[in-house]
Amino acid sequence: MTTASVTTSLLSTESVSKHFPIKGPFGTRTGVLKAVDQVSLDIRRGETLALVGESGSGKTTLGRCLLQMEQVTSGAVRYEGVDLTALPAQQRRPYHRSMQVIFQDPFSSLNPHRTALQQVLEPLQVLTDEVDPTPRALAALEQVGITGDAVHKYPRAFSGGQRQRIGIARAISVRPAFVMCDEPVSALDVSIQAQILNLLSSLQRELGLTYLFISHDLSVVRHLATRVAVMYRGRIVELGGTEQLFTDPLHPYTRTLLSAIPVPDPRRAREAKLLRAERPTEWFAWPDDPQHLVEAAPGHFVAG
Amino acid sequence: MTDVLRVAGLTVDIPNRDGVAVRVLHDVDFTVGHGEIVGVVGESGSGKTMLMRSVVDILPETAIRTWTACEVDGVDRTTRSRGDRLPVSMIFQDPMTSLNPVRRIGYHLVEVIRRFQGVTGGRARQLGIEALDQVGIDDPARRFRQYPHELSGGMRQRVMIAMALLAKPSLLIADEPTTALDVTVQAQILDLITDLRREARLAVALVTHDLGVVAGTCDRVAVMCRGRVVEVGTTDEIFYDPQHPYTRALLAAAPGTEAAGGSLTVSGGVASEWVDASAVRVQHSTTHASLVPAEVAP
Repeated sequence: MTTASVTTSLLSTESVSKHFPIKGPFGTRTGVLKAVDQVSLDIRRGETLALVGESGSGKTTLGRCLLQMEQVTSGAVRYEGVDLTALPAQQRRPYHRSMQVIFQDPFSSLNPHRTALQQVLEPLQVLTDEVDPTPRALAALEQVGITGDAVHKYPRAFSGGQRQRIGIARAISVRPAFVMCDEPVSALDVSIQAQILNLLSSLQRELGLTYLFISHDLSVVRHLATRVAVMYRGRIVELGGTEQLFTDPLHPYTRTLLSAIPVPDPRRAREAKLLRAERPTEWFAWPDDPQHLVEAAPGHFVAG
Repeated sequence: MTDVLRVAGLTVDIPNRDGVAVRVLHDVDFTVGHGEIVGVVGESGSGKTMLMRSVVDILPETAIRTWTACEVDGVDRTTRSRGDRLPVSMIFQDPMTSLNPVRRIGYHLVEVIRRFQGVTGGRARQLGIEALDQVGIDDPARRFRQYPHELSGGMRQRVMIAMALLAKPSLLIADEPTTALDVTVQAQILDLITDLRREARLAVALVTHDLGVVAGTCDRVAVMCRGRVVEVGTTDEIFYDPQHPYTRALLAAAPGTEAAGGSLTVSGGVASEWVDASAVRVQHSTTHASLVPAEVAP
């Protein structure tokens, strides 16, 4: 690691693995599932790093490892150089404030018995020493466009997009530096998706946030991300600047993934279909050393 | 040539909790021709699923449906008794809940074969395995013996398509068939549907909220908003020459892969102002029509 990358990196993983035991009948251990397999990744201050891949590729597990919501099997997770996996639970507390999360499902991630304001107060009460956290909670709600009497309403009174706004207010209320967005718009209608994505972009500019944006929707990723990491079966197979990766994909899996994006343009969609017909989706192999990423172009890494 | 499906003047009212009828479909006309894939797009609550449910008679019990025409294969179906078999198959969004978790894949297939083709025993089993093969499932004999939970989401949706085809339908209705699937699997399923259309000369009505899915798959598109079909045309007409403001807003809200950075245009949710009761149908070409307010109509 060079000195330059130390200064720009906010959060990084060093050969992080997360394995789950596969249980057979009567609780016997029959094998091990390598959900995340020796992943090394740098998240730079102020950027939006997108993590893309199919369901089961390990992107959410990797995100959960970053936030210490999962205990890693091996490897290190560093926040501003401090290895969080080596810290005892009490010493990790301040980091919970700096690292927040926005979940996919705005229906199950809010407590139905608490008003919008109470939802946002909760992280402030738990994670800060503020004597009266109400003004800050109200300010956070205002930033996401929930004002007036609406703050005293219960989740059932809000639409999916508004609930997601409350989720965002919860995350930003404690003034984090890093926010993990785990499929934040996949449960929403297209026009509402656009509103939430625009909100996330403007909050990033105003508050200087760093995002890890987990998504399977590549059109959304292209719109929002600074850099993209492609995950496949627990490993990163390609990492590069968004335009670099979309215009010049190097790994065969990335190419397959890109040709499968539904494009809202009939002519280009027809071209993509021809491309897919030439190259059927297959199981892709990778070298034995999972950490082996080659820098094919400046800042553009590929497995193999 | 007659259309495979022709629905005209379809109106559906569903009473809400207070007994007040809510109109979920307003005077809808909809056709699907032979070997044609027609996309039905719109936001949640626009009535696209209700339209399909009206055709196959699975509306909520309290719904009141009126229509001036419903023809399948040129045969009038506006009035039909229970047990009248429509040559229409429907597949749904979630292939897990569509299959019985305690029954093997083969059981589902054989049930359809027995009911629709009157074949049983070893011959039915053979037809079932062939059907799995036809929808691109590897090692179909092994899959035939497995349970739904042993199959991936994409594979389950293939099983649903195989079951749908075994009933030898003239029309396949696919209601958000790929919404629960990954992009790469979605592409495979959509390619399968287009291939089947060609091989089996199947007519398909594809309900989706994803304009990308429509662009790559459909021949024609009907855009729905607030219970009305606001625009209908060939896929190219809808995407390159949209006439209705709602269609334009929907297209602008879709994050295209070229539009990196900048703001997405936002339509402000379901736009009631674009659909008013006085709207009249204007024919732009033989294939292209849209609803416009009466005062602007030529």
